[in-house]
Amino acid sequence: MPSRRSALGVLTGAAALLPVLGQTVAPVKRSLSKSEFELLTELTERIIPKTDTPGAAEAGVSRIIDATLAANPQKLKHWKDALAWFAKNGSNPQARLQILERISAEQATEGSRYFEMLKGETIDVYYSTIEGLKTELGWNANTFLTEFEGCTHKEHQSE
Amino acid sequence: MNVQNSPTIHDVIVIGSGAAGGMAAWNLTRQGVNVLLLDAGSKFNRGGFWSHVKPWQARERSARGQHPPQFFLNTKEQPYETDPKNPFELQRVWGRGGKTNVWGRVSLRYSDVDFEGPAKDGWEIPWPIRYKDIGPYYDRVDQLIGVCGGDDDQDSLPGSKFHLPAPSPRCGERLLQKAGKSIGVSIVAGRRAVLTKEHNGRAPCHYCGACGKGCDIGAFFNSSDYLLEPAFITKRLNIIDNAVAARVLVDSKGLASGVQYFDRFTRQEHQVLARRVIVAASCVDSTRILLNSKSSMYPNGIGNSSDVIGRYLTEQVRFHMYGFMPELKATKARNDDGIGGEHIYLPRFNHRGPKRDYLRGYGAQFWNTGAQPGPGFWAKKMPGFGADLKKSIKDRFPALVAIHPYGEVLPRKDNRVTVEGTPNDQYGIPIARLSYNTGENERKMLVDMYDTAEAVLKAAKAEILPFERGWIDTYGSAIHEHGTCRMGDDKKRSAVNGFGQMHDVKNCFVVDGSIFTTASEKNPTLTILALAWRATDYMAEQIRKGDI
Repeated sequence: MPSRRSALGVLTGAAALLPVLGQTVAPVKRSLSKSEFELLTELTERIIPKTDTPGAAEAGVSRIIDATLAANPQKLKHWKDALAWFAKNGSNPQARLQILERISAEQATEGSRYFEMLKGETIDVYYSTIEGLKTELGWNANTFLTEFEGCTHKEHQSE
Repeated sequence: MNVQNSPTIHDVIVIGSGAAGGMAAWNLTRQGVNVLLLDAGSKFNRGGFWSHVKPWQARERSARGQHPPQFFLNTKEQPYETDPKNPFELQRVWGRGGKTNVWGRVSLRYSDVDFEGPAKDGWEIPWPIRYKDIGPYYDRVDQLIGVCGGDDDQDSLPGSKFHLPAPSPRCGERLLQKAGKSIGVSIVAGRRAVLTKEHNGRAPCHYCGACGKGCDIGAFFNSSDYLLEPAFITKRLNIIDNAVAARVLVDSKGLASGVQYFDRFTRQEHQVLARRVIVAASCVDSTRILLNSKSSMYPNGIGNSSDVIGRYLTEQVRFHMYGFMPELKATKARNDDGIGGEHIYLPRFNHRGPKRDYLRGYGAQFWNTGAQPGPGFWAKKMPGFGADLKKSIKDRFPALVAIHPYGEVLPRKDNRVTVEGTPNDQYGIPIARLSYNTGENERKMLVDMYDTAEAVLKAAKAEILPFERGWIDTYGSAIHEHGTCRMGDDKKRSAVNGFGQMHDVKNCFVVDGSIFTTASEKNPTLTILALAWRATDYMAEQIRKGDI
């Protein structure tokens, strides 16, 4: 639920200040191990897969999540625990897909909490990338217009 | 550390540079009065606003260590206390223009339904003014700052002859207006202080929708560009930056004689003298300054013989309900930025028809309607995962509609700002403690508010996002604090008169949201501007007559 403050569009908090891969500046510090990172990439892609538009992997969702974890040890621990749980309960991608299917239908279990975390973070990050917001959703705003057309549908007007 | 005293005695010192302080400075300087204004911050760098920075670009910039101007005050720098069980989220902006840099721009006139409410229902004290007193000032404010809106005129929402053209509603807003009409709920053009055409030489809005990051061309009212810059041209305005006001000083006769302030960064104490003082630091900070202005003559704070200063803190209760319009699902996303925030408004109507089991009323706003960035808060609630989830989010993205009802909170004496026994800030001045809660009246009103919001969405045949009936947003989240230095005719039950002049201290005025007798359901800034204009007209007249 956006607060009034976030609705005002003000960047607040750590999320706005954290580094992300793909910059020409100093290398970003990694928080997850290689295997953890690969697992996170696989899982985020399961949440938002490639279709006729890019999925979470192509949008760099796992790299962005990884970058945010460097500044937040508590959040890093949650993610490491979650990834360890997925690795323990599913030895291969197909097994983990079945795990996702199961826990997505559960409520108030350890698995459902990890699912909620994975899904929530993937959605937040993916739809803030150019691939998610512009390419997938077609958002093409925050630009300069000389006039705002608004609704032009006759059928939407009050009689 | 030695106190730095200036020997100059100023005509007027104004504390605060937001809507209230800016208006006071502008209106007095143009009438020949010299003003010294104390601003707790400094001017924000418009060139550094991130108005046209896309979300993914913002992340890249942050990674490079860049950041936009930080408008909101960090509570680590200036803390306040609040009840952990009922936290009040206080948002402050220290710097030129204050909160008008990033305000929501909703510009609604109070009506006699609002001004006469307390006198009619008997809850707390009556307002000392009526619409006829302030109406002419609303007209002047509309012309000065530029307010767009329709030609509607209701008993609860008086019209204006001076509105700039209303922006066209978005599809979702049109459909909500249509739905409202079908059930007898009037949803009119919104009224917002955004220039939809060139006004007083200022460039109009270019519909980038990023107003919350600060407008890169000043196409909506902010106190710095619209009031303080013109006031500088008179050569009668001086501003001291980074001057954190602490206390109003008093002389042996009990009159205000100046202000004690601290440099925000060096913490050097200063005292500046004046023949009159205007307090306009926004509701809570003004109240803190007044309560900390203790002396032998004013042991519980300047002008507080009534013991009302700090009491009767109000804002509004509000919640958010969302839905998806079937007509708009799976359509191509449109550019729904418009003037940022809603183009429509649902005025109060509950005073008509059958008598309700609660006092006062509510209206509703509609920001976030349309294809807006940041869909995560609703997208996470779509079931499942994978390609089906991705499609269901894409289908709904252009179809989002939102209703945000705002309900009046009754003024209660125990909802208050205090400074007794609180820790000191970095300047050695007691910080504010906020105690605030709502009661039975608000709970009953919320039932009605939920019914109305749901009825509109149902009439629109919207797919309603699941909600928890009775949930309310965090106290303070409307950023509409009022009432802690309220106006009234009864000197025993109010601190200032209808002109913001303290009953106890005739040369000390308060002109911000703290002087509202009630908060109503409406956003306060337009009324703050009108009241501050009226108060300083009165003050200038008193100065000319030699009364203060």
